[in-house]
Amino acid sequence: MFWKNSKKKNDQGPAQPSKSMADLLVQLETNPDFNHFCHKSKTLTCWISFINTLVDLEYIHRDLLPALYSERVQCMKDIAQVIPVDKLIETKDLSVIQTSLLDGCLMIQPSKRAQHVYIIPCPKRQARQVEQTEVETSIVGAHDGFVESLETNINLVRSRIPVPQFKVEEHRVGKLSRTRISILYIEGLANKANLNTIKQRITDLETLSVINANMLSLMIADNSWSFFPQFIDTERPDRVSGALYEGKIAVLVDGAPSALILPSTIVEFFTSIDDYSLTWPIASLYRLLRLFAVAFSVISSSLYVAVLTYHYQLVPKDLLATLIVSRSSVPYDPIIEVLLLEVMIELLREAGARLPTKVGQTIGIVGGIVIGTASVQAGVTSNILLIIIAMSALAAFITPNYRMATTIRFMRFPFILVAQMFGLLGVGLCFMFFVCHLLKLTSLGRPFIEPIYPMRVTDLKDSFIRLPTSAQGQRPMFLRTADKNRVNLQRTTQKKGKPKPDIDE
Amino acid sequence: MNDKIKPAHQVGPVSAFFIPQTMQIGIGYLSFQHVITKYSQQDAWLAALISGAIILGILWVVLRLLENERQFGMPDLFSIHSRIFGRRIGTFLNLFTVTHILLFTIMFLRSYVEIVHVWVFPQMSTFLFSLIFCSIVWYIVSGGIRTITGVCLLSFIYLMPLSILTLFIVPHAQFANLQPFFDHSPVTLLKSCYKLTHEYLGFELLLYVYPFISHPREARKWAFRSVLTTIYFYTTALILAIVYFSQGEMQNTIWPTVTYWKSVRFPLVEHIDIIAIVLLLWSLVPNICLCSWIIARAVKFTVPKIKMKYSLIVILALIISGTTMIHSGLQVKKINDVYATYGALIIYIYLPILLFCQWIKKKCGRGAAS
Repeated sequence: MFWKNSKKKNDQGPAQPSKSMADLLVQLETNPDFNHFCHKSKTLTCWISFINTLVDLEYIHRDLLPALYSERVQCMKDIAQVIPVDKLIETKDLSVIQTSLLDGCLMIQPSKRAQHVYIIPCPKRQARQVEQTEVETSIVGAHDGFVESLETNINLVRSRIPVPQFKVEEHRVGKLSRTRISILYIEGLANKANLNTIKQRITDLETLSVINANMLSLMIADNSWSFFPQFIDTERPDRVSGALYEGKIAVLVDGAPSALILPSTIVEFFTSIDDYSLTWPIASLYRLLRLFAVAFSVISSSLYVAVLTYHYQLVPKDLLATLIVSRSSVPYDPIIEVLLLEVMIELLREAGARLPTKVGQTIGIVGGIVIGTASVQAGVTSNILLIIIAMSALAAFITPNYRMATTIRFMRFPFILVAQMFGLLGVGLCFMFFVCHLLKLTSLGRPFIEPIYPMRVTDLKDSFIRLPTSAQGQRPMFLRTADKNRVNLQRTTQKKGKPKPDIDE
Repeated sequence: MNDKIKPAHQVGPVSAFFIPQTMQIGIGYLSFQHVITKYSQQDAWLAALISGAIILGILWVVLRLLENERQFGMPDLFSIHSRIFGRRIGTFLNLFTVTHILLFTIMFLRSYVEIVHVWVFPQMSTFLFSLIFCSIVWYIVSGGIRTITGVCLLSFIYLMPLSILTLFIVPHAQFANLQPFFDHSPVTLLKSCYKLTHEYLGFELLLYVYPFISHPREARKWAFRSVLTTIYFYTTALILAIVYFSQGEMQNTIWPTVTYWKSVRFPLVEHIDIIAIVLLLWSLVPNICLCSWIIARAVKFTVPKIKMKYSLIVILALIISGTTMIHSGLQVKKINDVYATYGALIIYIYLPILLFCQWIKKKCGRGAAS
């Protein structure tokens, strides 16, 4: 009601193209880094302009300008033949001129306010070197990660998929930021409906800026009210190329060192690239361990509250003695204890993320150990609860994906509150609510908890357990790829058809 | 309402296994042994098998009814009623069958609250629990039949620990309790069979869900498999109760299943029955969701102007008020008996008559055409 009126004001938007060349140049000339000068020589008179903080000055002064100033250039048409560039754009379109100038291009005009210009792209992109991944580390596996430059990122992915069907599409999103967003897919594999949905969602975005890939993921998500992230964000090029081989679609954002993989299911949030480097029983065990850790992390604190407040009968007799001793010094209810410790751990974690590295480690150890021990000795908490909360805090970070880890950390608070209100029955009701929420969630229109529901047995082989590669001959069903098989079935069955020799034959 | 159902809202054929299965395994699983063994003491398992065989026959009747209706439009009970009997009588018959479903919902929810009152929280407020529960039900049903089928599948998975729990009874079993075999007259067996209809009721809800199931031929096979699974569950539950309790003890135990769960000992937890009762929430939720969905569809069929999302709120409010109005355990028992009689009337008498009427209509139609 209160904010309806503000929507009626029509916004012009600041990034409208100027009315004419003269307006554009006047607007840009006020900037100290805009160079706009005239070059007069015996053979050619032209006006050269560029924004010197955006272009590669060395390239201009070493290669372009000498060629331009040479005597072989008699008129504007010779520029195309003489100057050693791979891409030369000749245009009169003012929006193209404006975009290129602000992107880092050199513009050559025949006269000061002429509109028929030649544009040579020579941008200088500042980006760091390809370094080790910080968030998603793997023990055995490639260590390179994405950087902030779109070109480097596409290079990292393209070198892993050297086939002509690999396509890259570029869009610009954001009225002010004009961020370049690339959609990567393998043509003939990726489902066309998925592709069209993504393209439509990205091009229809009405926003001022897209700063990083996670913001984009939130904007194009199916359900932005949900706690759960619907698309995987990763900073590993090997993970992205693995996803593209399966038939998924990746989205890269210029200026962000992460890529989005769509569509995704919930089991993929709990797989790490290391699972494919280990033998299948160990990989399956690690996945099951992750599942158990997630369940433990979400439910353990609320179980503590529910059992100690309402269901004393559930505790075995021998453990009851220990519990009573440790809780005897605490003057209040289990719920207060749990909330106090949870908030303390969240504070430590959040502060630890912002501390400078030199101070961070000390404070982490001091905070974790000293405060924990001191609070037990002061009688503020019981030591059993301290163990439970510390274990569940660790267990929450066992998920390889950072956003899912924060979701799991957040999810336990509703459980704790409901456990206080309704005991174990409340925990059951809250669990039911979250599971039903996941049932309704879709990622790009595909069901989010596929392969559990709808149950696809072929996809279950790579979800909670990982069966050996010989058992996984088909691509995931929910992607509806054009090519269903990963391997050539004829050749694999040919080998199986050979008669097996008997023992000692 | 009469247009075709889009594939985006359809469910696969395996849902014809999960939906009847979750509808049948309900609150009766906890207390039925006490009722059945009153008439045919140690031969009650035989009554379960006989009753199961009759139910398979009724399932065949149901599927026949639906398949014959497919060529005329939507293969569900509402269109059968309105096509064979006309608009007015059809609406009255719809009301007749849908009231049974409403009664089932109220009965199930209240019985579950009764169990929670006895075993977990004696003073829990019925109204508050029903309110919270029905809000979750509203959230699920607003996702459509696909979400409801997902809940049925998940409920089947989450209830498996409960059936595994019964395995822990076997070391304490006294198989001599089953003797003497076949000691009872057929009359007592039939009385037990009649009492068992309360447990086997639920598969007839296929009558309302059938239009949404794709690939009906495979769905039929899955439907039979689901009833067979239910027969297996109930027979084993009966046999386990007979070998664990003596007959006199059985007559004094209202909830035999929960009582024998109490005797299971695990190293880290005691009193498994409290955890089992909380797990039983997953048996409650698909029942209430599917029944609310069916009632909302009935309202939409009768008065197409009222959207399902609004009628759903009214239906849930009705369920909450019905649940709160029942106060004591005796009233719960009475409602269970009313529901069982009403259900037996529908599946044993009404559905075969309906099939007969449908057959007559087909003959008359062919006679009039030729």
